Amino acid sequence: MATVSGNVMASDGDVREFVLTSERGRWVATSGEITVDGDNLTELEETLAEVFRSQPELAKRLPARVQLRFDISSLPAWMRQYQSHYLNYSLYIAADGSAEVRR
Amino acid sequence: MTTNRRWHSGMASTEDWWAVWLGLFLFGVSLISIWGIDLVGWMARPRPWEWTSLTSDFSFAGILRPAGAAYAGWHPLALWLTTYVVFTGLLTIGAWFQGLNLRRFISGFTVLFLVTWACWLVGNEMHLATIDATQNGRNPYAENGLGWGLQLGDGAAYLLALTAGLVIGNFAKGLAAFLKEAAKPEWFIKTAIVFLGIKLGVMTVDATSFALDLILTGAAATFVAYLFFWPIVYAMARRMFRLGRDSSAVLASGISICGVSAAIATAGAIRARPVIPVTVSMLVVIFAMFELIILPGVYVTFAPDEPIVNGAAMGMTVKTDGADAAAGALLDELMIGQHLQTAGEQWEEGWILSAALLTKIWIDVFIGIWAFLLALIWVYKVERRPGQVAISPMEIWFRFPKFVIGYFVAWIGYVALAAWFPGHIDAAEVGADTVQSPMRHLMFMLTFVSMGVMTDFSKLKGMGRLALLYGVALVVVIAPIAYVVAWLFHRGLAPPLVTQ
Repeated sequence: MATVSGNVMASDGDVREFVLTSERGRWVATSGEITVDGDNLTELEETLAEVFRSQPELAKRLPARVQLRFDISSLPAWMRQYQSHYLNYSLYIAADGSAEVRR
Repeated sequence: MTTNRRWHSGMASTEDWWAVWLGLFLFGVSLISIWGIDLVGWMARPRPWEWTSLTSDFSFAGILRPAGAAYAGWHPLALWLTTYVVFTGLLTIGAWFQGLNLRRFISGFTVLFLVTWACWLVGNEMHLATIDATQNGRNPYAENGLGWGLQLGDGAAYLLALTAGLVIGNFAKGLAAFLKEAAKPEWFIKTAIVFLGIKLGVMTVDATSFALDLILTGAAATFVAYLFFWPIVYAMARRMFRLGRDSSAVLASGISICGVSAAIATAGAIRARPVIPVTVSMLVVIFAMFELIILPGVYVTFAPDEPIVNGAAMGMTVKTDGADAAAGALLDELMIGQHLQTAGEQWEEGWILSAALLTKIWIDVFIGIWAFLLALIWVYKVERRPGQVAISPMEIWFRFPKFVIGYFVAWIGYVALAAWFPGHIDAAEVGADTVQSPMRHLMFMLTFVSMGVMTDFSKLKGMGRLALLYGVALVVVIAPIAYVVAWLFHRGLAPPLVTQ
């Protein structure tokens, strides 16, 4: 089950880039004080869209494009020499709150 | 956090690109010999020596000599110190741009350099290296009155370097941890591969049709092999080992395509949890070490008359660039030595290694394309989320192994120089020979030691089904298919003979 923690503060400004990591088998996306997690990325994306729908400060900014960038430094150092990135993509959240992955 | 935002991302900060910069920089500097100035001939190289004569009459000149004739007047220790200072300096610049801890890098590299040179020098002792055969009217083995000898050629130094590294990595883990910041086998080998581009250029000038044949058949063999590898291993993982789709796909790419790079690229493309490529990558690296230790000896023993088949099969079987190049270099030395002993004729150095590398390079190039295709297959066929593609065609470029650019630039650059300025090629060769031979050997030696240092066999504990599947797939699927495909495309090919 996905969980959401943190609040969107007015000072957060344009909250559109999330750092993606994996902790204890769960995906975690973090941006400022917002932390979203899920068993898989589809669940995480749904939860993220729900955050944008439910937080007034974020809802005002819809439609929005959320950049999800995997924190490559969370992989073991010896692996990073083989590839400089793991997974980076965009999640488009429409004005009605529906989410869609885009490249 | 390193991410790819633009096409030029990572040009200053990844070791892949730094292999290109270092390789091409030294290639460029070497070409100044066209104007009669040898700026790289200070490179020290070991001289074959025999222990009794050395102990009775020791001199550094008996074990070290300069790469270039212009530096014949230098004291051997000055040559060696210059080699240390230049390589440490150049690599430290790269380390700084890559964000490594410079203090730890320089101290670690200094120890690596000392271990490497100790192995290189000992590996040139005649009882280990010299081959009992007459070449160009001379037989150094007989001339030095050697009563016995392992006759391993330059392979002796490689084996010593690998052994030293493995001893450190598995029995001196404190030292291994100290060396970790500087032990960068992939960086060293990619730089060596750029140097090898010059070697391929020199070889292409001498044997153009053979080089082109090797390149084209290597590409074709790689393509054919991959039609079999990935689907068979994926099906084995799903049906026989009951692994999940993500694990099966990542493992199939890791063992079929190009090891760690392919495992990461595939996992990213199909959005697998990072723990999967981390686990598969550990298997890839450890099994590559087994392959490096076992395969050269097996090929030399069972197929001594198929040098190019063996090289190409090696390229398709060994799954990291470092281990493949290292195994190819070892195979090259061992096969040349054995052929010289048994047939009395000497194959040109570098062709067997090139066969191993060219197939591997085609495989590397394939990673980005495969990651992109797999992302499409996963979205449209497996997860059935049409249109929800989280990967762009730019991924093909981001996943492209950049050191390949350096390899081809060095190769084509040298061939172009020979074609357009044939009158200057002899002068160019003075500098180029230093880069493509002793400097390349040094980078190979550093790779062997570093790979050993970074390999900890105890990490195999607890890998369970994945390790078993990896081993079975390697022995039952990858190695046999690779050999059959290599045989179909390369059978009967042999390197040109050395002529004086």
